[in-house]
Amino acid sequence: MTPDMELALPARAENIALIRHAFGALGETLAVDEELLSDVRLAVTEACSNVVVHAYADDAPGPLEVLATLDDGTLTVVVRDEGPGIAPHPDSPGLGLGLPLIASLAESVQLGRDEQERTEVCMTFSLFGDQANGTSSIAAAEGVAPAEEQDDQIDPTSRT
Amino acid sequence: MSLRVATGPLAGPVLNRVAAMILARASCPLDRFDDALILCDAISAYAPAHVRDSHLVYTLSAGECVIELRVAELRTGGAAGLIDDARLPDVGNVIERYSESRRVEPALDGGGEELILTIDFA
Repeated sequence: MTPDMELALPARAENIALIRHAFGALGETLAVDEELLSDVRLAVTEACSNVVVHAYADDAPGPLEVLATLDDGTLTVVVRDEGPGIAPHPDSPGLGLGLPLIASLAESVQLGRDEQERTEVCMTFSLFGDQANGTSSIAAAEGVAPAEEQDDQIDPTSRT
Repeated sequence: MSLRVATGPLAGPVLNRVAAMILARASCPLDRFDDALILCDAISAYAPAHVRDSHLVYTLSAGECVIELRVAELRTGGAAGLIDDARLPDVGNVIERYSESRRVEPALDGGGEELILTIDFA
């Protein structure tokens, strides 16, 4: 499905505010509940912050893409980068709460790679129905499974 | 940065928010800030009639006292049609009035064309 909105910009910290603004416009246009819109923006901010902090070397920010697709009341957001992928970072400056926070805010989260081997975090939000906040799990894109079954594949604290 | 958005209710608000942020970052003065947002409103309103398919691509870049706005995925002849449509009674042409330069280039992917506008704020 073709995304309704795609943003492509350098993975720099100042650009995260721009992405938040774009999602603000999306939420207002669709009359999304304010609390849910805050959740969406926070989850997207976390995913984008992970890209800014972890995906590229400090002096060479690469591309950051954010895609939003609306389908039958479900908003799917994909945050994509061309970094080396999601792997444990023992020296991470963060608290290791980023991906668990995204999982608690979104209805579902998938981590994986697209056909061009770009790293993707795919989140879904139910815009107008019951949102299962706090019940989603982090899953790998290939072979979706609850996070606890695949700790050896993806460490959810590897990107804060 | 580039923004690809479906023609429809999202197109105007998202472009305005993103453009406002880029203008603010570029220290655009308030009078030109308003002009630029009026220009974005006009483009969002009239461009959907001239797109190649169902999406518009905006590329915004800031230079020294100038913002360049590139409107892509227009069909051939769409740039001229978009400018023509932006002519309002008693106001004149909004796109010509609020942008300093306008040029049309063939699309990089070979289909249709792109309208490139600049907004100066020296």
